[in-house]
Amino acid sequence: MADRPLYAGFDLGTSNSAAATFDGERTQVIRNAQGGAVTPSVVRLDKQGRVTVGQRARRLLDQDPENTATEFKRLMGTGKDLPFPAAGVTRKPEELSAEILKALRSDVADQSGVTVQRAVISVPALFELPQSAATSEAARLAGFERVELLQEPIASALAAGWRADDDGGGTWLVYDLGGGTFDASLLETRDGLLRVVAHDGDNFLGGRDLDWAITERLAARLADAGGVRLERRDPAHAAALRVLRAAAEDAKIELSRTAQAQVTLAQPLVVGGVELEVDLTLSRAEIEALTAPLIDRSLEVCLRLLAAGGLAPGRLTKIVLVGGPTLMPALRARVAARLEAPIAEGLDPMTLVAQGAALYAATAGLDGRAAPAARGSGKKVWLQYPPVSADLTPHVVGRFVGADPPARVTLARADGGWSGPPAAIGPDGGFVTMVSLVPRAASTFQIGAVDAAGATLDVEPPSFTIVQGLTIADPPLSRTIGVALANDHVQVYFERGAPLPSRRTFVHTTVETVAAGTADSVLRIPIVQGELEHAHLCRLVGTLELRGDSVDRTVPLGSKVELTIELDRAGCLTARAFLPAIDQVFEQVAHLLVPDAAPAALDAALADQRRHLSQMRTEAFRHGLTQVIEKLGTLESQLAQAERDIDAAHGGDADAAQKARRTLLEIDVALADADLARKWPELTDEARWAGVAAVSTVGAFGTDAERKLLDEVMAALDRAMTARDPAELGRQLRLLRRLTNAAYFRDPGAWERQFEMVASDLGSATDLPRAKQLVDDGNAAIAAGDTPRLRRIVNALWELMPVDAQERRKSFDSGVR
Amino acid sequence: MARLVGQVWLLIAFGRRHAWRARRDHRTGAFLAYTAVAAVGDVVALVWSLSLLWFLIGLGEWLPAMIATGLLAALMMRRVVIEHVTIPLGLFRVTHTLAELDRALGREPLGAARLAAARALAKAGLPATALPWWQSVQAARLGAFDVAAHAVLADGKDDRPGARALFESLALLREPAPQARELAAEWLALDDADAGRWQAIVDRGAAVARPGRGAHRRRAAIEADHTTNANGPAAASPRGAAATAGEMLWPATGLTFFLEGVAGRLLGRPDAPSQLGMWLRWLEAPRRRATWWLLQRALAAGTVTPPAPRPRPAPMAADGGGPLPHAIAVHTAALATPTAASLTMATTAWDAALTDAGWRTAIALRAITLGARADAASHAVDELRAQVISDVAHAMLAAGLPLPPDARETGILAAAAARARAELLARLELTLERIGGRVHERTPLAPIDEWRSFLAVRAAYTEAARQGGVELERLAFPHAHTELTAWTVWMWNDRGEHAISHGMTSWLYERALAVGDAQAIELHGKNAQLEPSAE
Amino acid sequence: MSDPHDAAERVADNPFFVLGLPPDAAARDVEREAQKLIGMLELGLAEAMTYATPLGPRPRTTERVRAAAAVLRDPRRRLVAELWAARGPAAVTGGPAAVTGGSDAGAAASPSPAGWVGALAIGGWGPRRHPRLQPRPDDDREGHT
Repeated sequence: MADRPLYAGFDLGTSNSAAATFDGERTQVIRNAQGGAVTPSVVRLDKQGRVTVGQRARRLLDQDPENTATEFKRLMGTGKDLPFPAAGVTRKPEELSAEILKALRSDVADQSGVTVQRAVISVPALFELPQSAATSEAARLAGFERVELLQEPIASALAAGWRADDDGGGTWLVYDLGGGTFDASLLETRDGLLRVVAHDGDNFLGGRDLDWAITERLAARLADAGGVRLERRDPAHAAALRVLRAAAEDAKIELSRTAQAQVTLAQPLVVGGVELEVDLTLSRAEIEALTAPLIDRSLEVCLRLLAAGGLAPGRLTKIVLVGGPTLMPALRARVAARLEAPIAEGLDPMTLVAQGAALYAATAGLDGRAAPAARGSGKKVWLQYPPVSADLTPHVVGRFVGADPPARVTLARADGGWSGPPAAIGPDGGFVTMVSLVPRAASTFQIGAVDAAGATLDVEPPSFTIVQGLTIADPPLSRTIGVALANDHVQVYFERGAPLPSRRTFVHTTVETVAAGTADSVLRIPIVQGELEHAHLCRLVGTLELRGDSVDRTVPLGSKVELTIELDRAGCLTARAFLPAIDQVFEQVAHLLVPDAAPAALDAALADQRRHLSQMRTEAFRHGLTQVIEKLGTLESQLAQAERDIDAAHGGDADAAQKARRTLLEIDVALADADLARKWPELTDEARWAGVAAVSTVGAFGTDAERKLLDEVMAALDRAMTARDPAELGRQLRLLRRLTNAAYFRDPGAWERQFEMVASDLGSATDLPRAKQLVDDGNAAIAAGDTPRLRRIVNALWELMPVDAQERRKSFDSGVR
Repeated sequence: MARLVGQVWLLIAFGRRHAWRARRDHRTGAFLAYTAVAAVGDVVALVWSLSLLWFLIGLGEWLPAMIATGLLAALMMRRVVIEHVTIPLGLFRVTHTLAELDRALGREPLGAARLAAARALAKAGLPATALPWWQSVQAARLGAFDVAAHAVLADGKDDRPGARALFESLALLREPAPQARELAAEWLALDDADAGRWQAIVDRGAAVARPGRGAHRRRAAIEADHTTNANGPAAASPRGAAATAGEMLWPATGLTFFLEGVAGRLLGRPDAPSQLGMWLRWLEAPRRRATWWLLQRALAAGTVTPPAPRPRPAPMAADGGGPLPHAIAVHTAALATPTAASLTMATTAWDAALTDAGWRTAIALRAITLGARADAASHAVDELRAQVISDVAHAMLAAGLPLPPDARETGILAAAAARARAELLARLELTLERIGGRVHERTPLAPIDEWRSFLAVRAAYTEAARQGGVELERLAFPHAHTELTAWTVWMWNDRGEHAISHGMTSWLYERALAVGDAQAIELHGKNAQLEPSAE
Repeated sequence: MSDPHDAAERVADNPFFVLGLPPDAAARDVEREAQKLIGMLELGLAEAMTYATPLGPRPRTTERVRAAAAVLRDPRRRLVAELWAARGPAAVTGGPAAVTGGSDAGAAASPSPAGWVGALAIGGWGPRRHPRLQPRPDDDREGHT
């Protein structure tokens, strides 16, 4: 056994985790001490601080919920501490994940005899950097030497593809409904190589939501039966709801086999010291009706994904289902029907991801065994070859270490079926040759080396193994990473799908001065993740700060900054800014956590968006923009959803808070879009009116030069309108206004008219008594015909009028362009 | 006796003052004559002093003799001591104290002392321990001397661009500060000489306004320009514009005068000094040993004929393989050395290539072979076009090429020029908005950093206006006017930084004249007439 | 729009040049070549260290090879790369001078007399650490990636 490699993969799930190994021939699902293929992601700390993990902890979840944590995966990267009152300690989500990983790792050791040092851990496709970094941290805490992360859908597809008998190419959809997240991925296999065409998903849709839907129905039925109305927003009801939810979950599992199920509670339902009588039954039809909207929501994501990939639903080769909830017969039928494609059979949706992760560990060459010490005494050779190859004839590159390398090497397959031509050794001790693999199996090759005289030499290592099968070349980056610029755009560094590890450098220019020796003079370079055009809508994942007190020379605005960002496969990001002007390097990246979502802040954001929405609706109706009105309608319903989640957040559900935050961000994106659609007609209207005013005013009071310039500006205005370029239109408009104003104030009556206008709007002045005084003075000046004095008064009045606070600092306060 | 001493003092002062003026006006003969007059005064004073000492020593009064010697040295040789002893030794505190003696005599403002101290501080290697002391001697408001002092410190930190920007900015400040200007003129000339920018040295020399002439005439010319031709005002040369800022921009010192001569001769200008003139200038300049070979070079330069015109290289041979490979080849070459000609060539090649049907059919077939989506081929062509436009626009911006006029035509060149123009404006707007935001929020920086921010904005504006021409400047000015006026007002009214606020205003006035914005001309013209209060 | 290096990179980092393959290379060859090159680079074999581009040879890195292979796996991006590779990696003929032959090369291009190197240091300026004459650093810094 020790001779075979051992590749380990771990699926760190929201509600359940699993481990699998791959030895180069076949995958094996690791069973835990209780004999289960999956280990519940539940951790308990008792009074003595002892840790219980998995099935045993899950049983205690109902009895002692305070000291038992689950679903902490959804809080990964938030930096939130989870309390364990009995032990009197708090634990971070990554520490709890580490406990799960430790348990799985010891299960692997029990069954294979190897304590794995290197492994692959799967993460949801849409995990962002802070979440990925937290997962790597968990692995480090669990004692792993090195891990790589792999997106779950790729793992599932790899596992499904490895099992598939047909090697024909095709497009697959991986439908992964986990406990807390939904991922849909479109993958393509071609020549045995797996490629991710597109991902989509909903970070906050999962089996858990199905359970809540059922729980809420049960709660409603209890209320109808005259009991207490259980509310998620009420912390006092939390315990009772948890009991009810566990019952709902059990009923759901039972209903995948039967048509009718009795709701049985593990514990009595106690609300406010009164025990409630519960006598409820659920039918399969009822559950189907309850879960249908949620399933449809996932299907919408799938259809959107197919459209993005340019694929009609019927064109899919197969659908791979992953995750516990996909065991529901209703769900399987609905998905197959809507996407018009067959569902891959014979795959275990609970352990597929772990198997795929183990397979990928082989591709990445992450042998779980500790690196063997050099044993032999032969010529030492470094080898580079793909441990897993889709190609039947891959290259093998080698380089002999030390002086006088052999003259030639010959590679021969151990089964005797193939022997390669002798490869010459280059001047630097290197050689490149091809080998021939046995399809869909492991091939071991012996290295034969001869010196110039033809004598055989010992080589260390004497042989190596390559497995032929489905591979993925490089795990792609799931979300675009870039730098937020001061104009709220994003300079993309790594595009979604970019191979990792990767490194890029771009040159930026500062737009602010960093004053040497001034602590509060700070230039920020925000690093964001997401595909949206506007930086402030993307997720901020880190900030590089250039502080005034850390530079010994002032960095004037307009200075160059060479920024290099590096990203590895474990989700670790490093950034480095070099300022040539002062010859200084900055490397301190403030790594951010997923922003905390305080319920109060969410309330404020919700109210803000609601106001914005109603404002826009009024505007849209006024301008008769039907498209915009339609768009706003869908936003309304999303807002309602967000409100429900915020309610739950008030009840102490941190997870719902994150979900609400996400929804609000999405609404923000949609609002920005709608805003743009609304603003353009307004801007063009404005330009037309300004044009009319300019022609008459400049015509009457302008100089010849101004009239000539006006013609040019009007032409440029037309061009900007045809090109639909709001920035250019804005500029020309500003120039037009200045021209108009210059001409306007040559009219002797102009100041009087301005005075009347300002005086009529006196109510909004910032300093009313002074404004009133000025108006009196102004009237006197008009009576006296003193235009210069009137002009001074009007200017003074203008200064008292409030200025629209501009949204200047939107783009994470970025200091570069 | 006292009257006699006073007369000798006056003689020295007279000689020095006129020598300085002569040098400023490039009159070498007069300069030498006046220097001689001052020297006579110096000699008389020295003889007196020595005889006084002799007398005292003769009386055996050693103590008074020594006190008298100290006093004399401090009074007469103060300049020499500062220049040749305390500054080179980096004795910044002593330098400051000695230089402040001038103030005790009621002659010079304190700024000069700070400037001298800054030079000593730079020589001392800018010790961090000196920082509190340095802060303690700063004036409440920033003046021309302080700007120069900061430039000296920047130079001490080897921050040449920073030093250059600050020294050059003296041209915008009204305060006379002759020592600061002399220092700046020397530094700028040396820096230009170092980089081989001989033309810049000649230009700076020519920008010196002769008393009673130049400045007013130039301003009048610009205003006349503005009233007669609305399209032309931006044509007002930068040199003329700079002259509006002050009467004595770049005083000639011995060193700059010499370097100007060298530059003139190296460039083969008709107004370059003769052989004798060159020798005289060399004699007049300091550090004659270090400049000896430069003198030799300048003397030799006058005799050689200007270099023969470079042989015109053959136009690039058409690359085989059709219009697309050709366009790529020309494009690649143009990116390596972007000039107006090479970019025009590249865009013409692209215009031809992008309309060529041959390879477009091929790419459509390739798309089918690769199994791409139906629209992949046209998408690829669109992307190619977009990338080419972006490349050319970037090349124009990076090389600082003047943009072709905003022609109403299609084609890659026009599209790239439009893109580059929009980018220039957007960059400028972003910077202005940032400044505006800071002013609006009333977040102050140290005055010198405010000034450096302004200089950076001005540099960006000037560069954009140079590349984009008057059309672009007209679009950029209203925004700059709004944001920068608020800034100048804040600096003047609330923060009392009159010197730099005035500097900003006079620049805005000059730009308003250039774009012919009547309202802005009126506003800044009035504001520019406010005299910055002296320290 | 803040990246001036984009253009040169686009020409020089064309995936086909990085991998040393013709634009009509099969997908299988792309994978095979990328795998081989990464192996060679990992082992530091000299022949894999540089690749030819129209702008002269450039250093090849594993990151570039990975990125190149990723581009060629996506048919849409591969098509664009094929267009840019239409001319092949041969260096642009004639060099920089070949394209400055236009009529407006003008005064800016005429050589200015050499500078007085180290003038500021001679004039007693600059930081104290190096008060003596210093050679000016070469302006043609190697472009970074």
